[in-house]
Amino acid sequence: MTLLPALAGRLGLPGLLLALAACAEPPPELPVNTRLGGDFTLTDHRGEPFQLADQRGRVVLMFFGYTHCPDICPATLARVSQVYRNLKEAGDAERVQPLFITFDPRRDTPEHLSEYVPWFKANVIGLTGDEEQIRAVAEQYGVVYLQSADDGSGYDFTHSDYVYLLDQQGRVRKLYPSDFDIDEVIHDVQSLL
Amino acid sequence: MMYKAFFNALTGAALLALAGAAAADDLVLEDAWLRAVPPVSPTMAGYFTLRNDGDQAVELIGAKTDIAGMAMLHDTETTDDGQARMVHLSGITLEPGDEATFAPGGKHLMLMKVDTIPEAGESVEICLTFRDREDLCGDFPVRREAP
Ligand SMILES: [Cu+2]
Repeated sequence: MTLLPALAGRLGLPGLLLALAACAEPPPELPVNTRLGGDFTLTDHRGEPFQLADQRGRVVLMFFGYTHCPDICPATLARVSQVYRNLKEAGDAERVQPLFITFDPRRDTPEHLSEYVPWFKANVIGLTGDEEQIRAVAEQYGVVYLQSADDGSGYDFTHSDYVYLLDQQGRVRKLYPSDFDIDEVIHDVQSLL
Repeated sequence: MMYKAFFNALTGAALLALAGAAAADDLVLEDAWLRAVPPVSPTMAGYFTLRNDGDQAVELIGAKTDIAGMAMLHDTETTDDGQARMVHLSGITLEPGDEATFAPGGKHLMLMKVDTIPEAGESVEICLTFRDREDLCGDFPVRREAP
């Protein structure tokens, strides 16, 4: 109870009202991660070249995976899609872009991705390329992945599963674990719009 | 001890009646579901809780279902630096009173070589297989999100 007048004094009353309306505290600005990131060119699920730099002016939610993975990858895609749909309801969809980059270009061709990503109904762009291109992007973003030996039932990947938040200039602002809190991500995205 | 056994039996019966759980003797399968995936996917993951209310240890060794060419018990291991990988579990022993939870990001039922991916809202019968005891079958509803 004594906190409110104290805060009101510091922020001024309009500031306080604004803060309460938003999320009860002024959001600390997300730091720019200078060690990770950078522009890249891959191929999208329509078979068109995709350059990250063309997303300037949009906040990007980006993550890596492969479509033959049944547990974590679809769960992450579903959560990112939920974030997107909530942002769409808030009228922010135009300025947000989810990206899904595959580790598995051999199986995840543009054709295959074009049957996979639209199912999530969140305007997700699926990205593939040749092995060197993907390895280079993974390196830029500090993603480690390792393909397992094929045991007859196919192969899969050991991989890091972070979700990357990029600001409107394409800079990395935050990493989330794959079981991130949906409201936290929505809040962070909106702080960058 | 007797009270506890009675209470467990009662809880088991109540859950069976209320939640539509599948039980064989004293093994209870609950919260079963399959994650909906795009029709083009060759694999699906299933989740459930299995509780041993009996007085004998049981060993879960696998699963089978008509929709998949192969079904396996998998675990997703995550290391400290955020690396995830799937490993095959050859068996899980449940002592009396033990419970095994298969949940996203951890242990899961891995269905491979799925011919026709079922849609959200459909339900699939999957049978869990055990060492030296009969299968325990249950319906796994297909859902887009965790219940
Ligand atoms: Cu698996």
